Amino acid sequence: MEYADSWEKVIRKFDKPGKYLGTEYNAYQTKPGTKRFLLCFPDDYIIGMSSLGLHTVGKIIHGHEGFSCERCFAPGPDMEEWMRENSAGLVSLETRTAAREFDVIGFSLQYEMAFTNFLNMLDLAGLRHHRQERGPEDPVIMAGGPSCINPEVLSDFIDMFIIGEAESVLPEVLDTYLSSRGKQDFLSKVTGLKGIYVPGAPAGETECSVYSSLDNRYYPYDHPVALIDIPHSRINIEINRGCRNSCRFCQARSIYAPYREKPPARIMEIARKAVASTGYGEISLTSLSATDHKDLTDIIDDLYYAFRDLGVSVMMSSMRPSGYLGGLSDRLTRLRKSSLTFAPETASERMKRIINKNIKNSDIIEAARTAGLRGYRKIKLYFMVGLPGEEEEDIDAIVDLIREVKKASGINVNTTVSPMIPQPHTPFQWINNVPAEELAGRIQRIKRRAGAKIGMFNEKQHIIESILVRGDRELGKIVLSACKNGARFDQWTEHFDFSAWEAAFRDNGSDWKDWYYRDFGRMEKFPWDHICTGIPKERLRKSYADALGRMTGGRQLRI
Amino acid sequence: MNDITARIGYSKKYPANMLGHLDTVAALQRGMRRAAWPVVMTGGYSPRVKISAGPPLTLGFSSEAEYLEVALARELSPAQEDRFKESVIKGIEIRTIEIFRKKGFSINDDIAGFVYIVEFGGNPPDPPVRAAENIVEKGNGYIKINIYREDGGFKNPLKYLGIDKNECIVRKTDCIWNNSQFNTERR
Repeated sequence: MEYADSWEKVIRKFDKPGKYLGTEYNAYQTKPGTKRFLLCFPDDYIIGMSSLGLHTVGKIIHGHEGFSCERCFAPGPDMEEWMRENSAGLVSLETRTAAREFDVIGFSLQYEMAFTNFLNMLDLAGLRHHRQERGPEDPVIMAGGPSCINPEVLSDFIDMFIIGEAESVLPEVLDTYLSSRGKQDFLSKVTGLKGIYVPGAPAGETECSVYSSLDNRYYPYDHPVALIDIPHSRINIEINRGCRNSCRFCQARSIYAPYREKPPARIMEIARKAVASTGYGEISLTSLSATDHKDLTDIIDDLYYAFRDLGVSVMMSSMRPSGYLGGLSDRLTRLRKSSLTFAPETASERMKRIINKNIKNSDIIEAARTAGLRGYRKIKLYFMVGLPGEEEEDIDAIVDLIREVKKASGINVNTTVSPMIPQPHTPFQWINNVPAEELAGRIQRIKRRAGAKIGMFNEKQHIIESILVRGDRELGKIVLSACKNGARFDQWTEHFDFSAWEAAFRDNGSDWKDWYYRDFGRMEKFPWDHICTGIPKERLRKSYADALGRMTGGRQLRI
Repeated sequence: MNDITARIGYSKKYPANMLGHLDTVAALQRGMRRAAWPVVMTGGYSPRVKISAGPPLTLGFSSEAEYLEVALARELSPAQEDRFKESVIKGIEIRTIEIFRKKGFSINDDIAGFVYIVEFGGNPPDPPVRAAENIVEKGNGYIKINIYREDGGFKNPLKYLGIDKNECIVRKTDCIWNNSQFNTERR
């Protein structure tokens, strides 16, 4: 009895063994004589492989003549157990080379709840957690992605951060690596590049890097195609970047400023190449606000006619109903009619002014009515609770809106209600956290009254995420303790272990309550102030003051 | 009018045998799109490619006799066939592409059974009596067994033999066809 490959014998007993093969169509092929870059995603394969950001970075690295890219995802709990029992270290997906043999290891940090996975992957790789304890022969550990907008929590562990958009600065970073003599030389050379933050270098300000041209040069139309079903089994085409709106809770707007559009011809080029290379049957137009693209109807028409005979459908991630009503409703029949997504966030006029999101309820109801008539089967609505100045009437306005959408459309309405998490680099960064049980009560109120399907809310996960996003270097020690206590996959409710976190706070002589109930309103200086996005702190402060001014009348909830 | 149908015969070995049935069918569909095949879509609100896959192969088994049918709007050019063969994932090899016109659309009606070889580390255990009539051959370290349709489906050969999947390697070696192929009209 002989297996085709010894790896087959290992992985066949794990959940979804396809995650560990690395034999995807378009998987990276190592180029001889090049430096080796391990691109890591600190979460499951299915999540990482759905990320356009990860594929884009992979394309930049592997497209560089001096580098070969390989991928690595956080091993599942069953795989980790096997690795620890058999002293098997973390390896790359493509060639199963030990992670520590790579020249550079780069992590894509897209959300804070993956921080413990990041630390765990360093440990599985046999590398020291603290950057100062790693030697010159160890790989350079770099990180990029949206979570790096507040890099302080992990700055004791990471040698170099890319802040902002990688397309504009990563090629230069790779060039610099090739021309450097060792790790220290490299880190001192990249210090000062726009978008590069080296925690070990003397303190200074770091400006976000911006890819102004937004051309197709690094578009990963030929990215590795996941072997198993993943949340985004489709071609994601980013049609614009940044956002014209200025909702006060939104961090993405700061990270991806300014607003830029891709011309339709460039979008068509991506679509043609991506269909021919990936073979996916679905194209999704993604962006923070796709309906803001001035040529959106043309884009949908072009894609529809180009691909309908190949069985490729077009869909959109989320829409603003106002843009949708202006001409887009005629195009609805050309989109895949699975579901239509709107994110009103709130429903009362007063709340809309406080968060500065100007979507009319009547537009949403009208859009829902049309969607029902055009044969859509589901509408998804996204709301937030825990907004500053929120009162009972504001919660009830959400209930009324859900009911009206259901009535007008006559189809299924799936509602997601999430608590707002005040984020760095937003006007709401001065707001204190609301007790989690109070948030749960507000969600429960909507659930009871709206009679809609509403997802679960995990109070404990919310607490940890809220602490992590506005954390500082001191918090990094607690994250490390949590990882050592067994915290993994914190984003996954089934794996999340609050007791590991509680113990971690205790181990460091603290309590989660001290962190969650910190008084941000009185903070003079935030840990992330040295990172400069396209929107200066003074403008955020003014916007926050404006929000406060709109909270007049009625009983105020704590802010 | 009978549809133009392509019956694709393929083998599925490591590493592709680590993928489930739906993932395998999805991978083959992506191959067809890369090769710009003129597939036919189903009607309705969410059109899908008109495809009919044979019975699922258990994850971890390998096979030399997997089949799938897809409806086409036009016949394929040799270039489209070649491009498809080149665009499939590692572990899958396209062995045959037969084009015919066919009434109805389910490959399952044409399949009567499968032949499996189950390999063991040592001597094969004594199989339960009910499996005895299905066993075609018993050799040193292996059993060859035929599985026929039962209660509308095909049982896993290991269920007949009463063995754990971690104690053996299973290969599907052949497909036993019904005579209903007379319903089809060869190109």
